[in-house]
Amino acid sequence: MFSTGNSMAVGNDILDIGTQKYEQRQQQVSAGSGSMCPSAIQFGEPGAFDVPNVADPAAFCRANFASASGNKDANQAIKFAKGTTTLAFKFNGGIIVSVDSRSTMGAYIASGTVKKVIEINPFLLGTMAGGAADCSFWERNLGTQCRMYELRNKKRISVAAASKLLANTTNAYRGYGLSMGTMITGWDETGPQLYYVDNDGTRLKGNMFAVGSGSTYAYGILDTFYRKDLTIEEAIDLGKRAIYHATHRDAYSGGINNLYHVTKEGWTKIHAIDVNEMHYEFAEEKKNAMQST
Amino acid sequence: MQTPQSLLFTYYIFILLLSSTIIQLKTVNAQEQDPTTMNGGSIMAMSGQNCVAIAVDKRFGSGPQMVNVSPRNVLIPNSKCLVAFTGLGGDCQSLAEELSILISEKMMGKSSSSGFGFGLEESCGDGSGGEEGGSVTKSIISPRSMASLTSHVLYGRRRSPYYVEPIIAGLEPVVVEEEERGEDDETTTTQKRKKIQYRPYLCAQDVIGAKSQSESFVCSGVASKSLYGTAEAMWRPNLKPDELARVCGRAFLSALERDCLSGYGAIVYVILGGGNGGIMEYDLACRSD
Repeated sequence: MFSTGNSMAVGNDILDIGTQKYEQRQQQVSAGSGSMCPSAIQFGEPGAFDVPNVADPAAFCRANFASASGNKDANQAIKFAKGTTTLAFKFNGGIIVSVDSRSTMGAYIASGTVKKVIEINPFLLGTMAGGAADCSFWERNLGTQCRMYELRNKKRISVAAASKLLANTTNAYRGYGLSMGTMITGWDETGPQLYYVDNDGTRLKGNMFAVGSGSTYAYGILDTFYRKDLTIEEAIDLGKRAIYHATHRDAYSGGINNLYHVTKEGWTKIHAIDVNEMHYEFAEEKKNAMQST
Repeated sequence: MQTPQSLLFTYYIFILLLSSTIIQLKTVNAQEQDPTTMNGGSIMAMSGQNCVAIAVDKRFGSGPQMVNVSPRNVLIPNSKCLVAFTGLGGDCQSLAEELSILISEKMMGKSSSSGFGFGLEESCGDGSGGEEGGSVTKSIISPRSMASLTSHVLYGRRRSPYYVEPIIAGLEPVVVEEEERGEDDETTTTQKRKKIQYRPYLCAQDVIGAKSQSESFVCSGVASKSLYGTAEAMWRPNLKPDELARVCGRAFLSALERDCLSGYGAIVYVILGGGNGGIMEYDLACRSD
């Protein structure tokens, strides 16, 4: 995977990958400008991610490869999948990450079972919102970079550093039409951490984020019921409910709610519940509440 | 001090720049501004043996946001004809009102013949009841005439159309001649007798009233492509009314589960031809996300 055109064997210099020395050696070897390519991996032609052969590739990418749901359907030839609700919040018991699982192309539901939480490593989780390919590729790339850090430095990477690596990548490709709104979360030496990283290169640290077309509905529920001292069951219920309400109102969210809990020991997947089942459960709840009053 | 000419020059440049930015901003937002898909919704009609079914969904939204869950607007002029509307919500309501006014106007002014509709008469029970065997014959509009009326109204607004794609479905009366052999003693006489038979009639129209008729099924709305697919796969001829309700409902819900802008439940109306006729209503549950 790390081979160049010249040597197929894995040599002693494998731990040099990512350092300046290695980069310089690669640039000497390969033709073409490798400045935009992340130094850890080079696929295909060295140093090249193809851009369209037009006068203004950045504008072309922005116009044609941006997501085509919500109000951004500009009749592109290929409508890329988007539209989602993902949320994460910190509380005394750790971090809850709750996402839906719908992927849409225009008004057509391309898939109802997309995995929008990417397990970067047993202590780091990344969420996916925006272009599915963009998110899954760059977060997997982030996983590689995190592993290299671990091997070189003999300790796990902090969430701040991991999110910074991703933000550097998105900054490098700013204006090229990448579409990513992702949250990097994990538990490191400093405790639970939650960062929001955007395709513009935005990197924000915070206690609660909701990303996607249904995020406004999720914020309504989260803002109303969030407290720092929630118990774990209450926090799981809050994450579940927020996603349910977002999927009920937003056309581009739906499917299955995947919920994860991040603790000191790492993340665990709590449940994967169909939001339609939740609909009947909450309707039942409302009916019981009405009858009892 | 600037001379008047240079002032004018800078003014022109400013307007040029401003207009170019405005043009750029308007290239997005195509889907939210498309009137036929802004409110969402889909409808489908299928034919069976001496019966017809129409399925309508319940979502009313504004772009991606769901605003209300209530069954789609359906006009029922009589027990053998049904018109369902999908498209821009306001225009659906306006068209439904206009059509119902037109129908009641014509029907009120109608005696035994007016050249409107088929001139068909239907016996229906008088409120006063049965001892006198009173039955009032009432003129009703046939589905084919209803379709022509709708098409006429829609084309009347050719220049600024109603953004509605209606479906007209019903049982169309058709006169058939039957030969009856009667036997009298030694002579056999054949008499020709006219009988009225009902045949399913389905018609979908576009926003300016182009009629598209079918023997099997018609679909309209945001999910129409998916609906044509599922209907094609599941429909077969000569379905009995209960089978038809099941097949129509299943095809409709399967397509709706792949569409974000329709759903939240469905109602299937089945127009029955046999027996006393009438319209059955089935309320189906589907995904609410």
